[in-house]
Amino acid sequence: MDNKKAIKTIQADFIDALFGGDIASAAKHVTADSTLTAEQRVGIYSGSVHGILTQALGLTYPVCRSLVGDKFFDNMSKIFINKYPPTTSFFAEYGNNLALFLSTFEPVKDIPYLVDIARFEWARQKVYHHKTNQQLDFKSLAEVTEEQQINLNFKLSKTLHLIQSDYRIDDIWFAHQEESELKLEDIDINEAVKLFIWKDKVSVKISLMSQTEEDSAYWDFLNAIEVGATLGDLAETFGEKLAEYLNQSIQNGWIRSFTTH
Amino acid sequence: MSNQYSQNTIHGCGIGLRLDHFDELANKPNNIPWFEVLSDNYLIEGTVQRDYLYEFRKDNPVTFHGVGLSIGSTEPLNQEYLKRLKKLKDDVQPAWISDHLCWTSAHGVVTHDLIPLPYTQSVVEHIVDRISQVQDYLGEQLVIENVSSYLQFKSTEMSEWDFINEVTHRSDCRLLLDVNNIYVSAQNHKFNADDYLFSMPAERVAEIHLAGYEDRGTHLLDTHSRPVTQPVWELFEKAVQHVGDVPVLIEWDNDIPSLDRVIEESLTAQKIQQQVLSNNLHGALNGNSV
Repeated sequence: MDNKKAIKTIQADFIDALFGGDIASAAKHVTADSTLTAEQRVGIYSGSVHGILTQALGLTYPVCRSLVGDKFFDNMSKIFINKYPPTTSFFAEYGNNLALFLSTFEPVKDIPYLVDIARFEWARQKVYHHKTNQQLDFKSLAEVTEEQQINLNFKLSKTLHLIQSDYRIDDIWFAHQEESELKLEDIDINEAVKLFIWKDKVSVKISLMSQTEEDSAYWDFLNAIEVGATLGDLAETFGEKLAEYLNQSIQNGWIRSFTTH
Repeated sequence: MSNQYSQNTIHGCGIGLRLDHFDELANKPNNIPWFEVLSDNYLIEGTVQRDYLYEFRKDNPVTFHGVGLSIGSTEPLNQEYLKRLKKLKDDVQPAWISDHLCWTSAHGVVTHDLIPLPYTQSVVEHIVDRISQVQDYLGEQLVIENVSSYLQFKSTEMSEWDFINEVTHRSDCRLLLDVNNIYVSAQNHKFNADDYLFSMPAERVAEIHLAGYEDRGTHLLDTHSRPVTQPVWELFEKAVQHVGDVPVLIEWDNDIPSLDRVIEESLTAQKIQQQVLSNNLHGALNGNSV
């Protein structure tokens, strides 16, 4: 084996060992002494990697951590990390699969809203780390021909995220904030919600959009855009409200662009 | 953006810029001579942290320190990472950019940890080539840090200090001399820390790092969660004797204490450094060799 191939093999064996594979495969490259075996030495790195990544997940998902408890979260993270090792160099981009993971993770089935709390916390993270867009240029919209309008698709800003849940996840989240006086036991957990999670300059805001029919309809409007409705579809569904909703969304910076094909 | 920034003179004993201290640093004047920025945390444009850094840089000299280059990896250099790093460099104008002599990612997986390398001639060639690529792309000399380690490879052919000398010389990069890492590795692998320290190419040392480790019984773990220990302070004295007047930085990344406590640690480093430099000066004036 040439030297370049040898180091490549070492790194492949280490990646395998660090993320739940066979530690012996990495340990065979490592010297042992009277203090520690080669396996124990590789194990130090495995512990360190999991410690770093568990800490990162805990920072992204503090309410999930609080709901299941620190010890449980750490143990669960170990399984998650082995199943979904990071493929990104940016911590803020790691952990997007946690909700998916939790949805099939049997030990948390007694906390039915946990998956949606994970979606909520990930949305907060994503929104927080996105740049606020320039407001959409009205003039460019006015230049679109009538024919093009039918198939026009708007794109939502990445500083807005829409979430719908069968549980009162906004209040569950608020109840876990330091400054909150809201108690988990005082929340009607089974109240379904529609939420906007959005960035206002430097902070992430939560807007509850399911208390009135008007709010709910506006949430439906932006959700329709998100799932790909054309301007023609929107006009058909929202009729006379269309202009008001569009104007409001552009003013809020929630529609960032459009395409006409 | 260039003309809105202060001079970027890095001198004396600085500290790492940490999120925990943002508010205090923004609202209270300080005498900290410079700050090391963990560049990986600022590589996403439009974030609140990045805006804070732009503001912070107006009044404070900074350097960059990262873990994401993965200079020892056998996979191609991460072009997206490099692109973002260069953009951040252009925006913030750090005095220099440092990363570690190790690998952090391979085969598409990012460990976010500092994994050591076998010290072989072949790995020297590999690293020198990659450092050269990074230096060409960034348009400046890279500063490379010696890591602490908990294992050694059977295939290793040379000492870590010979490896560092050859890599820094052949790639013409600079060295971030982490004194704590030398001590940790010396204890873990039972070599003499002085042999390592005094083999370092003094003329290439851009910066010294100090931090605290945890004693896990069978090994020392480089956690950056504690004050600098006495044996590391003693090794630091020797390091100052060896490399002279070089900027020093206190790293504290876990169980981060108050800003005042971190500053206290940097003042201790400053006191030791000034004492050693003063003794050297007096020795030289009296005709003694130093």
